[in-house]
Amino acid sequence: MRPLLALESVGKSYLRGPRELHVLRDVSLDVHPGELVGVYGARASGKTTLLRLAAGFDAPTRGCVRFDGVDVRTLARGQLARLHREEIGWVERAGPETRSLPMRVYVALPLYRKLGPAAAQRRALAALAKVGAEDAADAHWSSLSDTARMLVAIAHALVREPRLLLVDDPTAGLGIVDRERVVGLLRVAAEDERLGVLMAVPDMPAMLHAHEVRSLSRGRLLAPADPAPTGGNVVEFPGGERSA
Amino acid sequence: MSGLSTKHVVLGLLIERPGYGYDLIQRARSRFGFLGLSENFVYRTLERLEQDGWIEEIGDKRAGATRRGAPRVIYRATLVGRTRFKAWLAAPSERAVLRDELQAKLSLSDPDDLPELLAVAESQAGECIAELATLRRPVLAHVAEPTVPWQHAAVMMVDDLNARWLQALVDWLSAICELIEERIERSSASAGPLR
Repeated sequence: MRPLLALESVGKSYLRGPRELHVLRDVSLDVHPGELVGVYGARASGKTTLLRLAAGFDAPTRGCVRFDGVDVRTLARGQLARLHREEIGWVERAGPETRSLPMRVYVALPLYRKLGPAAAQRRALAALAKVGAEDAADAHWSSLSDTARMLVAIAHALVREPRLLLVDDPTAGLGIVDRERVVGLLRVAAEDERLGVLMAVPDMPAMLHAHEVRSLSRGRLLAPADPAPTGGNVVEFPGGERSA
Repeated sequence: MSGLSTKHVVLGLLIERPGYGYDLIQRARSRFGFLGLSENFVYRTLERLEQDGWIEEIGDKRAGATRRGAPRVIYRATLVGRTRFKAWLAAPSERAVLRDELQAKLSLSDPDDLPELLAVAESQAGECIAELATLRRPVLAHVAEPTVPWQHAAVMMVDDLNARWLQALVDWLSAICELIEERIERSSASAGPLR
């Protein structure tokens, strides 16, 4: 099966005076439909750069980013804009630029031009309900908790019925149960809607919800080395589904 | 005493439910595989626990015989055993000692060995990620749910600990790789010896 998103030997570097600063080196990664791929990375490990390249917001210095087989760099500006409006949901807890918007309007914004306000807002309410944030529909960003903000951000991405979700640190500032709720939601979105989901987190317990795990360190992406050195403690029990 | 008291682990398994030797070996392996308990060790522990009066044999006819026809010895915890077990639960726990082989290699290495150490640290981080992929998907929200069997809840919390442990290790490996790399780079820039 062709991956939905493919990063092929992607590198990104910046010039800092005479020195070339490598943020990403030779990163290869596939995301398939129906799959939640987690990338662990500590602070300043290149996570956000990786996601921005995957979204086509930035161009790689080396290598190639393909969305559904197409090299993102070959897309015209209008095609790229359509990709961002319809196919790729970018999830970050930034919130609306106009802070007075109720969340039903903010979440509906990606659909306003296509569907008009009434239909767009109906879809927004459905998206908010799907992530369990219907209570936030009439609230403003400033009054929301961190968890509610994250859920709204996911609804804002999902409302366009994208094929790929790119999620930057969905767990920041959340308690352990809410963290699980949010990452669990991403997994359900991947499985039920056949979305490809790429999330970057600075938190390994959150990675246990992913189908595939990677680690980003010093700009390099580590895949699981085989075989695992120790057996670990394996217990089978109902609901104790394995992550990989 | 170093590490975990395996005696109490075997005792605890018998408190959960009575069992015979082979059954205990299976249960110990599936739940505490990381202890690497051998068959012999489990049988010796059973003998010792019985001598101490912490467990006793019960003549359970229903259990029948082993394949070879010898009667199966079924053990259960005694009142003394249960009291000892409770005392163990309430006593301060042995904390795991970090005994990473890389620690020793790092301490005993020479600056000329840095490229090799870097490679070892990198592959070890990859192994950590592989191990992460073997852990269960937790449902920690269930831990607080009284209807979820406690044993299941406990297993989820242990996997959470394993994930945090791996995170700490990966972060450390990543940090030392960065430092070693920087040192190699600076040494080659000054064209002097690595030390």
